[in-house]
Amino acid sequence: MRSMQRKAALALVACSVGALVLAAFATGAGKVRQATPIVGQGTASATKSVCGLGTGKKATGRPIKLGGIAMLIPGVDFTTIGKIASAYFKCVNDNGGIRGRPISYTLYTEQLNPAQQRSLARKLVESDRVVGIVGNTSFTECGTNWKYYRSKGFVVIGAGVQAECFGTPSIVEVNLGPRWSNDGAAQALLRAGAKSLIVASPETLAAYADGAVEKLAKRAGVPFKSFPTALPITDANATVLKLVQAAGPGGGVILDFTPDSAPPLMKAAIAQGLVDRVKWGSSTPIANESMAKQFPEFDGKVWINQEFANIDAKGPDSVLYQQVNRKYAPDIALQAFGQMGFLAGRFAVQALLNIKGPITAKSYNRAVRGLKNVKTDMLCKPWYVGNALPYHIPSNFDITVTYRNGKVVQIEKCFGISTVDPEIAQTRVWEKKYKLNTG
Amino acid sequence: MPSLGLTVFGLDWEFLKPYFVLGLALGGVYALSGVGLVVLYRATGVVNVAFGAVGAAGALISYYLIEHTGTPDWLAFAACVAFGGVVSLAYGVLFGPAFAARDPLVKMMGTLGLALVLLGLMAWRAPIGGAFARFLTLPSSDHRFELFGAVVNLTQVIALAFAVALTAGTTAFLRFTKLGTAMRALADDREITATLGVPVRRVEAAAWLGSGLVCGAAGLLLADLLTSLDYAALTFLVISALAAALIGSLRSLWVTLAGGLAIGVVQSVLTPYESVARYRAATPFVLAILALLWLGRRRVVTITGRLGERVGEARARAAPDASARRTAGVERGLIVRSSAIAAFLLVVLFVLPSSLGADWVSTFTSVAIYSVVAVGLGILYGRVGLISLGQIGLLVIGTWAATRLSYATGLPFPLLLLAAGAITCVIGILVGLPALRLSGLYLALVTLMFAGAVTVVLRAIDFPNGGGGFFGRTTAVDLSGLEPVRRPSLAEGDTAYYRYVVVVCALMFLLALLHVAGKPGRAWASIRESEPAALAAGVNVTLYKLWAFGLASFVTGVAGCLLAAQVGQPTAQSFPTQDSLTLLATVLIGGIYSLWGAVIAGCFIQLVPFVFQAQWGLNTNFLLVVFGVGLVQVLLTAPGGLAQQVPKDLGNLGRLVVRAFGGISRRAA
Repeated sequence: MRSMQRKAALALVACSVGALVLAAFATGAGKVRQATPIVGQGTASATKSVCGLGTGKKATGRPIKLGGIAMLIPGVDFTTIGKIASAYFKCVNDNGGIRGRPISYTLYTEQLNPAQQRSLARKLVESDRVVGIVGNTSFTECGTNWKYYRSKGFVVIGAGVQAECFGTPSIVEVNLGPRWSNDGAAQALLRAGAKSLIVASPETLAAYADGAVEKLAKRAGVPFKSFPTALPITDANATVLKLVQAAGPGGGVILDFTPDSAPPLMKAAIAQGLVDRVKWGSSTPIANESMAKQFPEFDGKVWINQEFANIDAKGPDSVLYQQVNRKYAPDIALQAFGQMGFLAGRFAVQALLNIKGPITAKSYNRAVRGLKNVKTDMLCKPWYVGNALPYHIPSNFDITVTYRNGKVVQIEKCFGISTVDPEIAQTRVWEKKYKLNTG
Repeated sequence: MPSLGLTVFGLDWEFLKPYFVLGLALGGVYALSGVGLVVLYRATGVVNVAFGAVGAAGALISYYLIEHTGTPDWLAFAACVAFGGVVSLAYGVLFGPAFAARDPLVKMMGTLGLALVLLGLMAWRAPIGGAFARFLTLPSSDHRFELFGAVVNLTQVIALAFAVALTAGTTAFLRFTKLGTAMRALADDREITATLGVPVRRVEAAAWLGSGLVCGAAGLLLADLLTSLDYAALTFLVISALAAALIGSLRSLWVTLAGGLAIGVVQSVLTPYESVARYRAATPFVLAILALLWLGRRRVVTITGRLGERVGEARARAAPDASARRTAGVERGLIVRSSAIAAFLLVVLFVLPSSLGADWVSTFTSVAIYSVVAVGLGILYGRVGLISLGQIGLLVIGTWAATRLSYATGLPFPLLLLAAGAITCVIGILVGLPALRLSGLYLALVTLMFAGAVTVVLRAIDFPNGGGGFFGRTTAVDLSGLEPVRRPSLAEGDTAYYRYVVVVCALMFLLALLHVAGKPGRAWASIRESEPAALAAGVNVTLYKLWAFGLASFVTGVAGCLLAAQVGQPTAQSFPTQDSLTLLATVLIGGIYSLWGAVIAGCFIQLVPFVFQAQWGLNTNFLLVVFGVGLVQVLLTAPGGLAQQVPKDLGNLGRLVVRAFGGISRRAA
């Protein structure tokens, strides 16, 4: 028995080593990267964006510490946002840094464990002593840590999902989040003549994510229903049939899922012959070419709310994002999460460059709060944080796109998220009053 | 077609017909997975929770071969099936014999190790997220036909046909062939089978290879049926598939097949009923619980004797020197142990928080809380021999109750602790009462189903956050005035709260210790060794089993309350069903027969990920690989867990050093 166990233990070790060796080979280590021209160098103008100061010289001073927390669980990887923020920081470091000082960025990952999220926030702020937190993205981290961030005087720039990411004072996001992205999709569907509004969202988000559409439907006088959906979706056929039945002929069905979860429903709709029975809408995440190529049946039949400029847009920031992503994170494809990371990094760098004196946590976060009228072609309106606001919804205008011949094409110009939520109405009041995005 | 006028709970049958057809197709998924699990169980006696992971990994390999190497589809699909066979065969040949004498739960946890390794490798090397999804579509999916208003594709038909063919084929194989008979004998009793001259290693290898090929084929079909190649979903689909297998009592392939189909149909038909539609994902769990309780009403489903023996053996291996310790002098041992505990508490209470940063203090607070959850599991399994995989469900209940009471009442924190503990205790007993009819692996799996059902309900209602109504959840957008779950007034800061938690946890450990050392502990020991003997000795078996359930639930509820106040705002997504499996795995690693083992388990759950990831920068998905390997390693070589193995190893090391130094000094002399 003992010898058998010993053999088994030896076998276990051998298997582990084998697996690790295989995995190491699979990393693609040994790739030779060719030298490329310096990205982000030059002088910023109306037609050209640069990384930081754009000097083309490597920053060599004492590093400025920034950090972030991103969710990474088997099946869901939200680190792309932090990784692209990091790529932008590398570009800044190659272009003079922040007055000669490079940015050192640490990205921790969390596994939806609130105790771990707490520990990581404290590690960043109190042990690593970062001056700022950038690029956070998680299903739940905002709710766990926003009070802690507030108590330490931090304002986090990230990309959010849950309600606390948009409704609390210490977090400001570069994106709209599911609630208002659904609102944008619902507006587009109503303009296209949808006779009802049906929303399917992940069940843990539905109460928050579907709320604005419910109010919008009430205002428009069309029937509304919310279908919280358990993930992973195992009964896609029955679910999609129910959605279409609830919408009725000519009704509108909004899918509020990521590209990991939307395909089962879209494929089920194709399989059941339901694509033409209703008008389909979606929040931002499925606005990418990969999905457009995968689902030609939805060409021109899905109204997707897009929070950012199209991925292949030719504006100066869009072009810089594409260059930074390709050079500093070549393993990551261009995507909306990348745009979020780029914007988060760019806004953090803007705050750092605005600091006149020593760069500390206090001065950085004060500079973040002072950000306003930050112009970028990747968003419809200038972005801002604003001093002492109880919550921040700086991104509240967007566009509508659809699939066409394997591409994502814009079909509606920038329009505002509806003011059915009093918080959006209040946000617009603040914007005017404090000139936050009106120049 | 004219309506028959038949209504089912208020909905017309004509309206429900497409859902029924789609439910059959969905049932094919559950049936196929369930039958695959039962095939292996009947052939080897192992509940293979790596079933989904092996299939998912095979499907992922197929995907890469097709997309990145241009391999013809048929060859890539064959590679998926072959991968399932090879990996399962390798696991069976390498580890099957070593696990052969262990109880069914340990065998199952061994396959969890394999599942974690595969899942970790997939997540580490092929992460999902962002803009892209992977698809593995079989050519058969392009062939569709309409049936009763629903469209069905050929893959769905093939999956169902495969499940039926597998059921019929395996039944015939096990019944009529020599190899099949040998497999059944092997699954029942390896040693007797060996003495009868059956080449057990070869038969076992054949069983693993066959079931592995089924894993691979099922993975291929399921990857297509679930539409996107989501390996995490495929891996944990095994928990729902276990429901179908349980309906068949892990024995009957035909009942499993019918159970899988029934689950699919019920889940699908519930979709248009708005009042229950949100809870339909709980269908597999609820049906499995009902089926098991129905089967267990006359205690026909039991493997108590065998399991009891094996648990006893494991304990004997784990603590072979128990009698020696008794003779070595109880008093000296007591003094040493008390001193060690006092020193440990002093370090934990005063040295740690003053010498470590806020991140460590927060982490150690979580370690203490999860140690108490592990104690609950240790009481049930380590002391009474009752295997519960539902502790995460109870932790959720305790956390939810504490959160709701915190918002709804002004109860002082100690009363909040007691109330959360009491509520969880009552629910634990209510769950335990019918579950007592079951034992061994069935009890473990029915409690896992309970945890699954709780998770589904929790995801539907979520945690209260200060809103009104029974569920206490606000949907307001402006959350700037939101208050977290309150902490004790004397311990609102992190360090003070850490000390408070340590004290409460020490009290919970003490409570467990008093029980173990007292009359309940003796009764539990006698039940664990032999239930009939305990009955004959006048032990009220039902009372003491319920007592154990109640105590384990109480301490878990208290831990839930501490957790709610620790995190401030719990969320439903933080408690996935699969955590029940990983919790038991960590407790087995730590040492389920020892209270120190609970502390080690708490460290494994909270401290190790923090150190590996935040301190050393390792990818957390890679940690899954390490954890899976560690789990198999500990299960194989340290049945008593690290709590008993490490002191032994240190002792051996010490003796080795002394001997080496003795030799040197003798040579010098």
